[in-house]
Amino acid sequence: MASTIASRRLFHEYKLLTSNPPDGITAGPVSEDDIFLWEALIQGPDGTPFEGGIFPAELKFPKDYPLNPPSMRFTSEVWHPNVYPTGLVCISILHAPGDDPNHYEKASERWSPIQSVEKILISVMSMLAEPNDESPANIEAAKMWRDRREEFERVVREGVRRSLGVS
Amino acid sequence: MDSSFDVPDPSDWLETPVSQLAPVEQALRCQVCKDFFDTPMITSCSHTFCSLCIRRCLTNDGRCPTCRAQDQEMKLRPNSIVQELVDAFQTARPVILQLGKDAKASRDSGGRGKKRKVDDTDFEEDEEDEEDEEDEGVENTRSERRKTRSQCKSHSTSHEMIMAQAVDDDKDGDFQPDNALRKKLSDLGIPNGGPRALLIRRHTEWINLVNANCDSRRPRTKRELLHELDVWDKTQGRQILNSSSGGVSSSSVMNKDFDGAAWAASHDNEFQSLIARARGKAKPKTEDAGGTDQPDVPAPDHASGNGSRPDESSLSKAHTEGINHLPLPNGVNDHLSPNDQAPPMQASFVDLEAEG
Repeated sequence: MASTIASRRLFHEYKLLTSNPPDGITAGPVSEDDIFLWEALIQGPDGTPFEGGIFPAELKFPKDYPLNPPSMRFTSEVWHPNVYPTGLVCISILHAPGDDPNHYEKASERWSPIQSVEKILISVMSMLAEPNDESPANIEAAKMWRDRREEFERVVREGVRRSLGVS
Repeated sequence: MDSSFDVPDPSDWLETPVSQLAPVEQALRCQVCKDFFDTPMITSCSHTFCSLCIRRCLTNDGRCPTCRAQDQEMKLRPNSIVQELVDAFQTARPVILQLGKDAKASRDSGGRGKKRKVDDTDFEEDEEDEEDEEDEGVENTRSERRKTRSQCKSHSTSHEMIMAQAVDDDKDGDFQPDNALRKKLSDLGIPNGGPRALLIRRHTEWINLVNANCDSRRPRTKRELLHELDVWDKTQGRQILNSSSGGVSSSSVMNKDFDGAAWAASHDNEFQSLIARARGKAKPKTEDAGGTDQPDVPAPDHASGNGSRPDESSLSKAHTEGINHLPLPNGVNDHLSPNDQAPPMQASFVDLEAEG
């Protein structure tokens, strides 16, 4: 198949991510056959209950990337106000300017073709550290985060330990 | 996939002694496609992108990707100095990169002291040689450029005509009935098969390709552009086909060839449960004493504008008919009288169609 703008751009991003990776983040295509499906590993940010955890996720890119953003789904359990129970990540940078499912996001925070996989993953990492409870994807987790912070942190830490197989 | 993972990129400089060139190269690349600028155009907010990239972005959401200011294709202007910078840099790139790699290799292998000195002088000699070559290279591209520019002038009139016509077509593109649209596409000499959504997007893509080609100093032939369009059809076009047949987006419901019956059939369970829930909610208000589990209690008419009291069967029929005609998002049904349900929905459907 001839290479398209989308796949060339993804090659560029992959190369940049491997040659100059940001701290705590790795990402790349699952296989050479399909540049539109990536997997990523995000380290839990230090000083948060997610610390010590490694969170795998998959990114699916549309064929008109970078006009439209990819979707991102954690493939392991993540208890977080902005992560749906299915693992789907709900964060403004992953929403195209045209669609605002929650009617609160500023256009400047949303997807634009100059954003990148790297910026998405960095945003998701900071989202882990600072949940946004204005429009929770996981309402239970949001309530717990707001009202019972200690319990929230305990649940997250237990999840991290389970995912590492140490409990 | 024929393209390898190894694409030239600013990070190539990082492992050479001239890593300062990485940001220089970064600045010569388009932020949308990450390639060197191809026919750079500047927006009214002073950001520069490839002609095709910015045209695609603007037809997608009408905003500058960098600052999100609204902009129009008509306001784009060529940024010709950037094209010259890119051309010159691309000519020089392999030479300087090789120099940098050689210098690093000799630095790595060479020891310190005397030997190093010898290496350094070698390197300097090399550099001078290369500089000479480079100068020639620049001279060559300059003369080539003069040539292409004059060639371009002879091309430009015919190309601009295509542009004017293409832009004209775009104005009413959204409102044409399918047949006229199909004819327009075949008149333009591009494929005209597929559902309406795909036709419109394909037309937009073609106009972007043609207009970007008009901007280019090295215009491509129509055959090459058609090949580009074919690639688009096989990737993005297919994606549009899938999303419109899968009924994923709400806009697919507004499609003329939307299959209401199939939609109703595939979502039957959801509609039934919604109906059941709506009935369950409605009952307690009028039938205070009535149990909530009796399915044969007539539905209340508080939502009905005409005051008529529909019986159970007509309510159920109206729901089903309404669904068959046009599924609407949850909640819309609540505001309509069960009796009047199908007609107003159809009317609003027609209205929306007419507005495009």
